[in-house]
Amino acid sequence: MSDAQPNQVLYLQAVQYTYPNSHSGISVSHWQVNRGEQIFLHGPSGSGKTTLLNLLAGIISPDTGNIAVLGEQFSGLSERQRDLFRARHIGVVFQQFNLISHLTVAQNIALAAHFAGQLRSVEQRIEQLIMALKLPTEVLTKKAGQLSVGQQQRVAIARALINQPEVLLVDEPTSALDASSRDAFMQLLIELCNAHQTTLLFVSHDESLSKYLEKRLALSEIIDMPEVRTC
Amino acid sequence: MLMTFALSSLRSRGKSLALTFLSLFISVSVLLSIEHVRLQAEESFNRTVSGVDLIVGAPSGQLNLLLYTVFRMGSPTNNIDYKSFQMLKDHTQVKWAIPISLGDSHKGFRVLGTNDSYFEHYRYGEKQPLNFSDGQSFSGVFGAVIGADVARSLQYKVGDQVVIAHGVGAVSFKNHDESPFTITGILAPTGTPVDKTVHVSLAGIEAMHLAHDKLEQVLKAPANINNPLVRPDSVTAVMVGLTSKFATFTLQRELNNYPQDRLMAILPGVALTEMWQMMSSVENLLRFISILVMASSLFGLSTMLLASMQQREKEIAVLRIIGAGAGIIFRLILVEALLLTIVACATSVVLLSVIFAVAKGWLASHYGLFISANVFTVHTALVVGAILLATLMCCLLPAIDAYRGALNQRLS
Repeated sequence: MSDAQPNQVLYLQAVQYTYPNSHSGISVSHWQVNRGEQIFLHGPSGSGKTTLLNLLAGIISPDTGNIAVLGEQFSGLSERQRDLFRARHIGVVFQQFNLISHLTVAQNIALAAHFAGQLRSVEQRIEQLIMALKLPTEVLTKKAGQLSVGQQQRVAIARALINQPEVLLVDEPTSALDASSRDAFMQLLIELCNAHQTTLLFVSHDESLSKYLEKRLALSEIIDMPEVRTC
Repeated sequence: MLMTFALSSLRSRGKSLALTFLSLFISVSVLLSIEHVRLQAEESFNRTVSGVDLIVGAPSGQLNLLLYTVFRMGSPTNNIDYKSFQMLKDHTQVKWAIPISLGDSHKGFRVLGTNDSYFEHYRYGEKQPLNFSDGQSFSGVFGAVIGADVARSLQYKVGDQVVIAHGVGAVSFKNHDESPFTITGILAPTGTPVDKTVHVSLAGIEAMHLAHDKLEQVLKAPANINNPLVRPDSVTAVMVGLTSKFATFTLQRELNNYPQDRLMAILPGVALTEMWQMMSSVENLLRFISILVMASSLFGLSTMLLASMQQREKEIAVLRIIGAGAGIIFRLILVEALLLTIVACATSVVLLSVIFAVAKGWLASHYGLFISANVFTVHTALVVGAILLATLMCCLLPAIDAYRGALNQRLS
């Protein structure tokens, strides 16, 4: 990529995406995020936050334009290569249901390592992460469905970070948590991202969370107004 | 990893899984048992008689003659002259001839009058001769040799006395109780109707049908087989072995046109095939039904997987986000279906082995079916293979569904 700079982690250029069976979509003319940045991206629901994350994770492809993560252009990758790239370089935490409820916590995290092709000393790293997230090690053998929502969200961070991704995409992770566990969650998240120098993109409609992150952006600053086309 | 995941996912679906498993298990068992019984029945059927070139009896149908001479089923219609037996025995192309006289029974087991040539020449299975597990062939008029099943179910041993009843029903009103027979030998098990037969001499058959005063004379000298009073004047049928197989058809034609007696000669192989063909339509019907049952439970499996797809959307989203390709999701569904079917097949093979091992004796004594308890045959493997293939086909639909869903999956 000619215009790629070495510290560019996320890069979008002239991206347009239309929702299937619909005339509306989003478009981003230019946006980039540099290595190590921690960005709080806020916007009302329905403003295209989740669609942006889908595009950045390579789950959906834009109609036109370039998306590059760590200098790798998604349009140049096959479906399978994109899956592997995502597994190795991008960690994702959703609002809820981050874990497979019938697997144990350890199996959930190990599964993520498995799809990234990382099989060496996984158990040791799982244990380290669980301890860093201030969870008792007994949770490792519990089924994910038996944990409280707060615990599940913390395990989701461990799951997202097991492959030491350069980018962490987080989508409304605290909306199901109460105030005290939300604080604990945010502190741990920032702590771990600092420790691993992970680039963080935190998406939420709750502006009170912006105090935890260094940089704050409104979605409307990067997305040209959600398009409504009529034919 | 895929396996661990599939197992865990299956286990998490408790009740619907248990029901689907039961329906698969039942239909696999039905299919496998029908196939097993069918093959075993055909085998036990074809092994009942071996090495007999012609069976000669009074004219009726060839199936009828085969049924009562070989399978001890049905009733003989007419007898043939003893002279005809002698003619056959002395015929230049005949190597050996076994006379058979039927019509009496002992506690439901058929009684067959014959002579020493039966024990010498009769063959079953792969040309195996009859062996004595205890004692020896009868020598006098009132000796009897019993088959293995008779000995086992009636707890008889050599030296015991048996009374023979007239007719072939299990309950008889006319017993020949003035002329008890002494068991001189017990045959080793053969897995054929021989096991359920009481063999006595032709002279013995004559003797028990004599009037009271004549019988007393015979009883005075029971060792004398050549007593004119017990000389047979007819037999039911004759089994014939030839010196050369090429003479079979010539001799058959010659016997069917024999002027001195009304005879009919049949080829046991041909008659067995004809009989098996008659049974095969029933057998095909059973097979067809069991395949339908199998198909319906495979559709049940497919339905269960399809129905679970909605609940699994979130699970698939998680898998996608941690880097699982749509292909893995596709394979996962198939692995789950296959695992379930494999377990169902394995369980039903074990169950059938146990059931056949237990019911073996009962099937043999009640239906003359000699079924081996060994279900682990090439044929079973083929049937299981076909079931697995059908499972794959039936579960393509939910798998494709999951694949498409995975491709269009969004984070939310």
